[in-house]
Formats: sequence, C-alpha cells, structure tokens
Amino acid sequence: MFCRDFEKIAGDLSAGRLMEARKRERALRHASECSACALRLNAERTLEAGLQALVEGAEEGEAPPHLKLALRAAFDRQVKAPPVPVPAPARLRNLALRWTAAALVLLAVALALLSRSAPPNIKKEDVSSGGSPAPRSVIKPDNQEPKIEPQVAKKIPAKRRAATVAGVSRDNETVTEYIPLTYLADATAMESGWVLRVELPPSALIAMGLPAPADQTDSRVKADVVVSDDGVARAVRFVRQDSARR
Amino acid sequence: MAKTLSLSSDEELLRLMLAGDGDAFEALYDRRQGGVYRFALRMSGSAEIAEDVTHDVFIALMRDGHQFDPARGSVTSYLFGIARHCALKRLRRERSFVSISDDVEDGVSAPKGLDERLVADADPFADLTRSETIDLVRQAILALPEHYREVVALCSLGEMSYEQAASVIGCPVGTVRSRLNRAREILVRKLSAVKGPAANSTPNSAMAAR
Repeated sequence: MFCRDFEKIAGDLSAGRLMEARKRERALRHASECSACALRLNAERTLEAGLQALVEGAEEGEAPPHLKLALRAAFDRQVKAPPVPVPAPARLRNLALRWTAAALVLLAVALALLSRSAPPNIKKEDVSSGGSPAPRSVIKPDNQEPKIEPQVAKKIPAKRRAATVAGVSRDNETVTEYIPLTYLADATAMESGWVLRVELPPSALIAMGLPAPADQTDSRVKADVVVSDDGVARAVRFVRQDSARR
Repeated sequence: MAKTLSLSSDEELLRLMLAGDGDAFEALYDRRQGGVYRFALRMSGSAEIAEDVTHDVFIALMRDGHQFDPARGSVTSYLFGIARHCALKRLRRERSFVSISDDVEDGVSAPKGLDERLVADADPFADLTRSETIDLVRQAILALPEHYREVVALCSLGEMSYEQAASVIGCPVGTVRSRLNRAREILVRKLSAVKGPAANSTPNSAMAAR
C-alpha cells in the first residue's frame, strides 16, 4: 500500500468504517512501517475521539419538550381543518396549465376568425356599452355544437381590469370570481379584451388545482374566459346554471 | 396501541400520520426529532436555530408528507433532506452567526479564538476538560464550509452511511466520501496543531506531498 492509498482510507480506518478485513490489515501494516502515515493515523484517531466525545456529549440533547406540544397542537388543528384537495404534482400541473392555455388561445383565434366571417344572426355584445348581457348574445353558428363552445363574447373596455368584470352574469346563473391565470403575465395588464363563454371538461379544472363540481363530474363545466386582444387568456370564472343545481 | 406504534416502521407511521393519526405523528416525532435536532445544532451551532429547524421539518412533514417517495430513500433521509434545506436556508439568512473567512487553502477558518488557542497552546487538550474538548471540536466543525460540515454532521456525528448521506444531500456516494475525507483532513490539521509542533509538521507535510 502506498501513502496516497492510505490517506484515502485513514478516516474510515480510525472511524471503524473500513469493513474489508484484508484492506484494514494492509493499512495497519503500512502505518506500522511508515512514520508519516502512523502520525496521520494517530491524528485521525485523535479526531475520532473528539467526534465521539461530541456525539456522547450530554449537552447535545434533543428538541425541547414544548416543541412536541406545539407540533401536536398544530397537527390536531390540521386534522380538524376541512380537507384541502391535494394538488397534482407541480410538473403535471404546469403541463396541464400549458395545455389549457394553448386550448384557450386556439379558442380565441377561432372566435376571432368566426367573428369576422359571422353570419348576420351572430352578435357580440360590447360590455362597455353598460347593458346587461342577454341570452341572445350567444355566438354560435346555427346547428353547430363544437366541443369547446364559445357561447358569449363580450368586449371589455380599454384599461378595464379583468377583476372588475366579475359580476357580469346572466340572471339565472351563479358565477365565481375571476381567477387570474397567473402563469401568464400580469392578468390585469391588458388594454382590452373579450369574455368568452366556454365549456370545459371537469378534468381541466382538476388539472388547474380547482375543485370540480361534484354534481357535474360527467358533464362539461361552463366558464367565462377573459381573453385579451392579443389572444392570451387572462382570467377565468366558472358558471353554473341555476336550473342545473341539485 | 403505543406499543404497536413503537414497533411500526417509519413508513407505516407516516402513512398513519397522513391519515390523521396523532399518536402516529407523536411516535414518528419521538423517534426522529433527536437526530434532526442534533443535525441542525451541529450545522448551526445554535440551539435556537436547531429548534426552529426541527419545528419546520415536522410542519413540512405534516403539510407535504404525501410527497414522500420510498423509491428515493427512507423516511429518515426524507426528514434529514428537509432539515438540511431548512438549516442551510436559515444559515444563509443569518450568515453572521458563523464566521468563515480566512483559511488559505480551503477558504476554511476556525471561529475567532479557536485558531489563537491552537497556535498559542502547545498541548491544549492536555489541560482541557471533556466539555472543553467537545467545545473545541464543535467549533472546528462549525468552521468548516457547509458542504464539508454537513457530511461530518451526517456521517461522523449522525452515524449515517455514505449511501444515506448521499440520499439526503442529493449527490453521488463518491462525492460524500471525498467530501468527508477532505473535511477530516482539515479537522485533523486543526487538531494536529493542537497536539504540538512534531505532530503538526508531519501530517501536513504528507498532505502537501499529494
């Protein structure tokens, strides 16, 4: 054994971690023949004794008892708290959010194309006019039922923040607050945009970390999506028809 | 029930705990808090930080325990991984607590006072009480850079295997081994200086020859 080899295992040798008997014997034999390595081994043993004294030191103790009481109280509080839906792992959630955003962008583009070539019976309503939206403002080509269906398109006035349109809803609907799609840029930094009525599968809500309505797990969920003029989805709120309540 | 829990594995206790079993939480806490606390204490040198880290570790376990993946390591490794993260975060926030500044070769230094004692006394261990010896070794460990200190705390003081420590730190086993070897060399140098000029010169010469 050479000194370099010995130095690599001197720590393990003194700490009793060198389990290979032949290697241990060779190392000890080398230390008995090499004064430098003998000193090194002696120094390692001194260090090991100091480390052991530290391990065995009474003052190294444990966490104070009051910490256990505090943590048990915190645990009990958490158990009593209403269950929070476990979010999907971040990687999957981000992926789902990206797909959702991509779908919404496609939807916005499709709507823009539709609005340019819309037949005379398709109307869109300008929210800035202040009128309450009416059921007749549905953008839906007759006799067509697209999977993700834009039903209402409302123009948002310039500089109007997404959150301020949260109260717009039909009389027979219950709506949530607008939820910013925060993975994008500032949800409120938009000049103007559109509110699109879409239908989403409940899995899309779950993917976004939102609770899906228990009574609509097999049907699509209606939502209003705020889309800025650049086609980026900024915020979303969920809509429930009162007639659908159970 | 308590006897049953005391015989349960860490994974089983964690499963029960996540299902809302407070006794399982206590059993797991009783079993693992000491190691977590001592690791944090050895990393920081502060009982206050060690207590905070222990608190944060078990709060994180309550909140994120479902993220534990047995394929990536044991519950102990998971807890120490959280403890390491919390301790390093806290140390970086309170950098002034441990002063690391002036070792020529490694960027390693002893806290002010330790080097002076090592240099001034020919054989300070001879006159030191056990608690003083412990204090001297503890200070020398605290003077190590964090990546050396943590392997000493885990392997030499925490009696973890290299594999377990690698799982906690998230690095290859060989890295743990080489870091520990290097950390011990630095500590040996400090203690060699304590043991006197004769012992001091030869190991250093041997190291310099490498």
